[in-house]
Amino acid sequence: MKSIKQLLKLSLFGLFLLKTQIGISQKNNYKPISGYEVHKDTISRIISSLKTPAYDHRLERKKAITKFEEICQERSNYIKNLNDAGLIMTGDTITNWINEVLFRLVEANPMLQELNYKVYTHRSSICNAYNIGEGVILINLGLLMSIDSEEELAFVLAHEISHDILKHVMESTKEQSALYGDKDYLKSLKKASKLEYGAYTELERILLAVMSNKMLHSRGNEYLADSLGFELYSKADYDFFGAIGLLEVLDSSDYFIYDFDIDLKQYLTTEGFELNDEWFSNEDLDPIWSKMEHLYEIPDSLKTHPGCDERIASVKRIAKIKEEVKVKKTGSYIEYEGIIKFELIQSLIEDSRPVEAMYYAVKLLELEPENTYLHCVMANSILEIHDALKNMEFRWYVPFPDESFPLGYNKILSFFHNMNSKKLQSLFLAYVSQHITDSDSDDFVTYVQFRKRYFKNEITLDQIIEYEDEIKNTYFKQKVEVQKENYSKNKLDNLKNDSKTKK
Amino acid sequence: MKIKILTMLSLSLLMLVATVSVNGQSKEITGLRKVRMNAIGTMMDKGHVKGYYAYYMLEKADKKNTHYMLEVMDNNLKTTHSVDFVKPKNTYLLDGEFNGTHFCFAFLNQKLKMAEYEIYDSEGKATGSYQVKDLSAAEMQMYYIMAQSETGNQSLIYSALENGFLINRTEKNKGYKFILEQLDNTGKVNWAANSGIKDKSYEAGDVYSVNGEFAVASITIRPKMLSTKGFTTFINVYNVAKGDLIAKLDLKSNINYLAPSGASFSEKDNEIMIYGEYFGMKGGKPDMKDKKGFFVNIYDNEGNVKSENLSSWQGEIAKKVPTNQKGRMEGGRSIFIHKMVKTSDGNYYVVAEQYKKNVSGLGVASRALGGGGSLAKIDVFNMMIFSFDKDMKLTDVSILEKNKSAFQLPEGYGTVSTEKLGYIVKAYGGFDYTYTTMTNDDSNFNTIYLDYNRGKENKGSRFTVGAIGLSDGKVTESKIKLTTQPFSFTTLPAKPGYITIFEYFKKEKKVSLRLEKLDL
Repeated sequence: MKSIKQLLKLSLFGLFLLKTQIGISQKNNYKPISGYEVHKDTISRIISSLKTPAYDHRLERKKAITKFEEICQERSNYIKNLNDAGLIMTGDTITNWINEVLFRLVEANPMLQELNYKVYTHRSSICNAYNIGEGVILINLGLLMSIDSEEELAFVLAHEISHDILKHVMESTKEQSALYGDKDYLKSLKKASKLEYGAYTELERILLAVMSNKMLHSRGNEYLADSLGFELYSKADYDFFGAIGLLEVLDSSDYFIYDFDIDLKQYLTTEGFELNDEWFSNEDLDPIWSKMEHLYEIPDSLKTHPGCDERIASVKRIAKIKEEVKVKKTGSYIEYEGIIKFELIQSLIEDSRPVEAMYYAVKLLELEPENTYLHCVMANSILEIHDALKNMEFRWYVPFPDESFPLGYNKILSFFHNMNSKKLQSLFLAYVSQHITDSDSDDFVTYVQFRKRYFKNEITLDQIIEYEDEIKNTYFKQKVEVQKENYSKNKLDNLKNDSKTKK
Repeated sequence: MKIKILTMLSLSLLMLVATVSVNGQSKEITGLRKVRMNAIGTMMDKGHVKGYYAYYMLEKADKKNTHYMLEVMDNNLKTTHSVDFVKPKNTYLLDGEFNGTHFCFAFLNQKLKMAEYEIYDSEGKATGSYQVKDLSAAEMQMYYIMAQSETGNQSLIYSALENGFLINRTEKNKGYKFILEQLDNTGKVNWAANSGIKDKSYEAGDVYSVNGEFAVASITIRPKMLSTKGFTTFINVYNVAKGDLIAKLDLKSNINYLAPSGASFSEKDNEIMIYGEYFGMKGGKPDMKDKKGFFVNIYDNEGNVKSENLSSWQGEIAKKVPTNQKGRMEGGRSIFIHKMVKTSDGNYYVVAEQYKKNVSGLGVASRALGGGGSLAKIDVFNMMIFSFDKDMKLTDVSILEKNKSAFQLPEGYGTVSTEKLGYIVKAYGGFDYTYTTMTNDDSNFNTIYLDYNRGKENKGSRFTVGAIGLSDGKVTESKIKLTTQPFSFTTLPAKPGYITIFEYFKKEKKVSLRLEKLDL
């Protein structure tokens, strides 16, 4: 088996070529990265290793062993499902860059060289990174968007690798499983549930005590991973500011990476569809009485991670730093920043989160007003909400505006809450006519144009099949397939209605 | 950098009652042993939904007491308050209301034969309470039926805004007398009003509408407790701050008999709208077979008539019904007016539903087998919207088709006069209409009804929720087909443009509450 060093060296040339291509195409029309599946053999090995990890759990009770095996199975299924859904990126520009940084850490730390880490980009907008166990680490696109430098990415990797070295994932699984074989614990639960009086209160007390103990342990593990991570990170000659910078990013990171206001009307104005000012109002959407924030706050005792302030203080103590730290952006991150932004939008589209996709697309349209890809994102978001309304799935796509959301995002939410499917269809048609032409053979453009023709009843079943064959992107292909089914169903309904009328 | 934690909570969560908010627009409460559909209710004010409440049992606290949880949600279904308290077992939640600053909840304490009204501020802190003790057997029964009712469309508490709350109850006193009381936010009763009748009578009050200034109530007087004939109904308008009777609205006419079915306010124009069907007179008595049409009387704040309007089936209405919809009007159908609204442009809309009394096959079969049950049923037909301009001139009639549904009349009601049948069907939840709400600026309204599809081709639930509203000034309709298959379900009023669907999944021991946007 080739070592991680060899694999990384091999990928560098390919990476150089890909970077150049994206740099050019992004100016006019971004083409999402595709063809990044994990090799069948690799994913099989990962699935199998997660299912039966090389870890001596030493659990004695049968129930605990069964639970341990169940959790490992769940973890293995999780990776399988992510891969089946096309959410694990490998061999692409971004993942190659991550592995480049990993390579630097591995080279500087002899203790890592015998270990086989598998680091992938997870197509998720949530600001997070995961250590799944057995050396598998996933870095979310959302986290990559939030960081500002290569150093910060290096500390993410060092921290996650440390969890692995310290066996935190497996130890935590073992503890969790042990509870299922803990006779005293199970007995106390059983006894509490059978109490004639006060059963709920007693069960709540037992569970909170167990959870709080577990979370205390989890917070301790985070400090240990920060500490070892910082050691690995420093040996690779990374400046300490990256570690502090990352913790600051995490401290300020919200669900939304950007917080900005937008003039939505300006971006949706087209010649063919008149927009009414009332549609941008959120008057009927505000909650009636104020939110009771304390109800949503997780008590400190139930938090899995310590506060970022405490973690920053801890890393500063280890690094013996007393002064304020200024975070710098480094060159290698800047090179990838643009691609990450576009890929994040694409992942939001594929994750059926069209409102967020539109929110970020508007931000990028400020810089690239002629970008066809971004206009397709706008049109597709309108389309997705239209379909959601038709399918009674609106509530899954469009939450109510909330004080905790950015102003610009709330404006988009309000707008969609004030729309109906008829208006959205008209807006979509007008938007596509104005901003998207047929000239590009891109899958996204083809899909949007297909939907335009479909709405205008300018299409036959054979033509739908032609579109289905033409589009290569799995996501858009599936969307065409749904319309094909709708088309056939509508034809059948019409025939039934005609025959009823004749009778 | 969070390691994916597969919590151990699943081990014992099922044993607990747990609320899980999936997102801001839905909520699930799991681990429930038994669910009453009225355990979840809506808090409304002047046609606007303010929020919801859910009430459920957590555990038996001791031999005599039960530990309950009362969860208050805003109009986006987000939990804002949770109050858990211990009360004597068999305490039932009857109703809940929000007046802009305070919540009031009514409970029936079955053991102590007492109705309790508890008031909380917007932080969830108790600010006062009021008890009505020594309830009579009939009152207890009435409250108990209300507590067990699955339709939950009866109200006891009304928001009087800065004037606290109004509560509507009946008291045993020379028969049964209707009482309307005003509670401030500390639970103090500032005034109580009644019908003014001192002789023996059996009264039932229906509070049509309340705002910060006025309360409109209809009082029906029966000579005997169970009599189904000889009703008299009058409408009183009270001043909410002091309880003074401002007006007793006289609906008498020598030519026609007016049978009111409801009242609405137009806040902006200080108008009280009273509406219902009207019938002909024969020999000085109402001729219930002579259904003429419906009336709308508009009064000012002091009870002075602003306008009296009659829309007859043969005259104004027949002219406005589109030719292709005439068939939907035939067959001697009556209409029950559920609501009348006035939009900000000055136009009026009357929301009605068609119904007709028929012989019940089920009732006949039941009788043949020696069982009880009425021989009559009510068939409920299409929804109707009557549009009027600002001068109360009928401008349009929309008939919104839905499947026929049948309501079996309770025993003893088979001979009730047509004018009262609508009330009975309404009281027993027999209509498909569920509610009407207004947008905050009163520019539009949403009327919601249920439609039951008997066809076999439908997968999942056979229920469709119909929504009526205005689009570009025209009455328009949208239908939402339910895809889930709950044990039982109901719709609750929601903010404009939405409906709240409450479903009970018996097998899964859970209830789900969700807001669905209407495609209007």
